This record gives sequence, structure tokens and C-alpha cells, in this order.
Amino acid sequence: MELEKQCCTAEQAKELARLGVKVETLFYWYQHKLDQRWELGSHLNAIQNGIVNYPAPNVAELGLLLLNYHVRYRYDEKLWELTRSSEISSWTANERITVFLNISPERENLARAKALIWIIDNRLIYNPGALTL
Amino acid sequence: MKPEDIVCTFDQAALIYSYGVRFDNTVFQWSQNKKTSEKKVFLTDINPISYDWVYVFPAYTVCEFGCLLKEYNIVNYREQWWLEDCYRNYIYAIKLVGERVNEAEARAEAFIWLANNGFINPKELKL
Repeated sequence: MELEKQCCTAEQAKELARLGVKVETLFYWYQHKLDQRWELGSHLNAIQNGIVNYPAPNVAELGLLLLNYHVRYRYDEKLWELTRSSEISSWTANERITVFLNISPERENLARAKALIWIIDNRLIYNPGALTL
Repeated sequence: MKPEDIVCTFDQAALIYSYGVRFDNTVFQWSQNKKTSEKKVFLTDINPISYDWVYVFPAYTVCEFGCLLKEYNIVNYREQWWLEDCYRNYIYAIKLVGERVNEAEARAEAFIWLANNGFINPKELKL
């Protein structure tokens, strides 16, 4: 399975950085010096070849960043009936937040990154800069 | 995180290989040093790694397990093991212990459990 399908997209990486997430990840999105193309590679590659780079958390790293949240991709139909107007929603029970995404679990990288961005955007994480891996 | 933190263990990779699961398109590979027998994870596209290291088994990541297990509704559950037959979807809860956990290792356990109980047919898997 390609690396690009296992990490967040370049756009999601930029968005996470804009929201204040500063984590050291295994791979980085970087804009190549020569042709300005966006590439995914190691931190060393990103520093040596990139003009600018952003951490690109993979599915495992996104799982750790979302450890306190229960993220479900296949929605529960009964609960989804209540919230079907949006692609993403949350449900709180016993102080535990469950995030539902109307996204195929085959694109888990996109789904988890989307969930994290949504959680930060909705101020369920107050200090994104304090997130660590 | 290190590559070892995001893939299944060497022993799990060996067990999955023994079921006949064969993929050469994983991002990482478990490798072994011919001289010292040390085991380490390398990116598959580094070829050859070096004279002393050989690739041994595909090292499946969390995401790759997610793809292999897409027919199942896998949820993370911290407190206990839990299996439920919900119509035709088998819900398998993975026990995550502690705050820092190797989720690939947990998913590998789920995969091995499903394979041992005849729910997974290695020939039908796609990655």
C-alpha cells in the first residue's frame, strides 16, 4: 500500500500546522526545491530537498493523537439518523467523545486526519500545540 | 515514532506469513541481520538494504491492517476483549492497554484471532 494512502494529505498537513499542531512525525510533506512539487518523505529528505515542510502524521500517529477520542468510520445507523445532515458529528457519553465519520474505512488516513482537524476546529482540544507523539 | 512503533511485531509477521498471506507492496519490511540475527524494520523501497541485512517478512502497518480487515468493523476498546456478531459484520474490539500503544500490534492480534477462527481467507485478501 502506497505511503500516500497511509499519511494525511499535504492539504491536511498544512491545515494541522495552521491549527497549531507541532508534532515530530515519521514522514513529512515537503515542497521540492527544483520543481515545487509536493512530495512525501523522511524528515531528512524534507530538510535537504524542500523549501517548506509539514509533519504528515500517518494512521498510527493519528491514532495516538486521537487516543482520547473514539473515532468510528462505519456509522451506527440509529445514531446517524439523528445527525445525518453532516458528514461528521460527535456523541458524548460517560465523558467519552465518539466521533462519527461518514467515510469509508478504506481511506483511514483521510478519515483520521479529518477527525483530528474537526476536533480541533470545534475546540474539543484546547491546546493543539501540546499534542505529542 | 520509529518504524517499529507503527508495524506488527516480527513474530506476528511470521505467523501471518505462515497463514499464506503474501504481499510485497507493504511500505515496511521486517529484516534480519545475517551475522547478528538482529531484527529491524526498513522501508521496502530501500533495495538492497545492505550486504548484512535481508528482508524476511512484510511488516504490516496500522493502515494496512485496516485495509486487510475492512470487511470487519474493528473498534478500539480499552477495557476488555469483545466480539459481537452483528448481522454479517463481525465487530472485534481490540484491547489497548495504557496510554501509549502499538495499534498495529493490536490489529495484528485481531487479524490472527480472525484467521485462527476461520473468518479470514488469505487468498481473498487484497492490499
